[in-house]
Amino acid sequence: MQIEVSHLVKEYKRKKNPENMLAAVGQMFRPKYEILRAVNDINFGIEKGEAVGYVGPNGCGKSTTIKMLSGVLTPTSGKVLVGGLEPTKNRQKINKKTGIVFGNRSVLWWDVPIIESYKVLQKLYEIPEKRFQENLEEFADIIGIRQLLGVPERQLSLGQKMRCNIAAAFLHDPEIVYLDEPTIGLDSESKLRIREFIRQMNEERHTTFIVTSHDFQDIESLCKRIILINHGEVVVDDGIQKIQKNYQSKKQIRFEMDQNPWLETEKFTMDGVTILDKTPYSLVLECEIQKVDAMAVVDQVSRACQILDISIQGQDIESIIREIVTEKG
Amino acid sequence: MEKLYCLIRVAFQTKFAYIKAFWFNIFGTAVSILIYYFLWKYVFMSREELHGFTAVQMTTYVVLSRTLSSQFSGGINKEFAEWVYKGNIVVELLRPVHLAFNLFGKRLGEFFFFLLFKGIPIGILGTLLLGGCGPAGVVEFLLFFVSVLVSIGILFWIEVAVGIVSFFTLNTYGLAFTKSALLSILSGGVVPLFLFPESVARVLDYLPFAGMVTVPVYTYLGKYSIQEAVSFIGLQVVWCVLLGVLVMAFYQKAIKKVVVQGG
Repeated sequence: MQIEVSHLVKEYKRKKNPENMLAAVGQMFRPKYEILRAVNDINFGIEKGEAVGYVGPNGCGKSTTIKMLSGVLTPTSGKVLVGGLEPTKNRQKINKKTGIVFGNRSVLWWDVPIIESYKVLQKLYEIPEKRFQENLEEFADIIGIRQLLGVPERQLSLGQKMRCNIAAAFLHDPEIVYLDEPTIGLDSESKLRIREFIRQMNEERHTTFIVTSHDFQDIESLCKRIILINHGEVVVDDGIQKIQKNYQSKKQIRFEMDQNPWLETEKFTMDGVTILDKTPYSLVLECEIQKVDAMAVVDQVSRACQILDISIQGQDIESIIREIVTEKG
Repeated sequence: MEKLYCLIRVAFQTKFAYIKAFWFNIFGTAVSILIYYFLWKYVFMSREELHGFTAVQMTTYVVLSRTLSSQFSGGINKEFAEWVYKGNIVVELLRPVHLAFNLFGKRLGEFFFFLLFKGIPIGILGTLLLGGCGPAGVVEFLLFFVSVLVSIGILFWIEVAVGIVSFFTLNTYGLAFTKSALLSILSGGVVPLFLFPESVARVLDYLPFAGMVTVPVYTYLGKYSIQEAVSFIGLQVVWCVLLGVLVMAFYQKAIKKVVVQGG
């Protein structure tokens, strides 16, 4: 097990909002705190080379966990082991073997050319010159930063900055990389490139990844396993395909037809089927798979009109996760 | 050493990127030197000597002390506080070197920039244009530089301490202002320490603040004998180590409480 987390708890103290002016003045001298449990008894283990999506709604404790894994925050109780070491006590040692990418922060020096920042990182991480050049050469093309190396970071666009930061996280051949919202605010071309790069690193170098993202395309294309947390607790921890199979509750069927017999009605003729959208020549249905078989629905429709085209879609992982969160939350 | 060098270099390069803004900074220091120069000129109109200082020596005192104390308003505590405030501290904590090392490299880079673009040019130009005097001797001149170098250590630890307080207050504008004002006064950057009541001045002489302006400038002017100068510099070194130990202990405590803001 490369990363082991057991009974992890993190509590924050937050200043209580005073109820009235008098209380506000009083609190300037003796503030009252309330305790906030951001992470509540989390357990999981991650093997070397795994790519794990760490997901959950805003404020569920994702970043807090990552910060504890990287040793920045000290857990209130519980244990974290990374490569057998405790992060808070061995932060520098572990930092050397980890890379980190924050979608909203940069690890580079704002005012100097990218290559100068890379050279500083080379020295700090003690990367041998040969290895440094090889990595730089390889990354420059895959992630498309060759032309950016001579430009100071402050003159780059968001996407370019992000690409430079991602390459920076891999220069020292890290064993573990944390990606915190790596594609936030990027265009689809940049997203694609970044995903491609990360996948390649995972496959060729067996780098372990923990990805937190609200973009489920990120998660789906990068990870094989999802840990879903909500209110600081692990809700689901399983393979993506398994989650899709186990939690799939609805299917979407889209018809194109010569004329739509349900145009005037609100309800479909079968139980467990709802009409999502309709036009004179098309119909979109959603059926609950526990109650009704999708093929039976198709059968029903084909008897009422002539079907020109049809597509059946399972739920995507995003809506599955959403449902789990709302159900269990 | 290589790591320190590259941190110093990148800090220097960063400073250099803002060279245009720096001209205004130099201008500000030049103006403050002029103001104090005229003030003292007025004082020396009615007398030849003040507490062993001649008018020429006082001019040099003004040039050097204003230049040295112009460092107090900057420093890494500002950037450190901003890291904490905006949450970027997490990035800096994840670097493979200690935060203090990282900051020290940055501070030295800024210091060398200061020395090259402000300290040396203003020191020479100010002395020549306003008619100050040169160093009392070669040994004094060298000791002056040693003292200035050690003072950066003291200043660094004070700045780190101010920065750490931002862990708790999440904002240090007020504190940073207090710092620069207090340091200027206590170090002898505003007026020479001999203007304080004698008992206060005697205490201030031995505090770490004096090491940042009074000790180097007095050494330069030959107000101390060589032996005195060396022992004062020795005292600076002791203060530097002592502050380092205290601030690092404070840091270890503070780091456990780090709350990283913003996601």
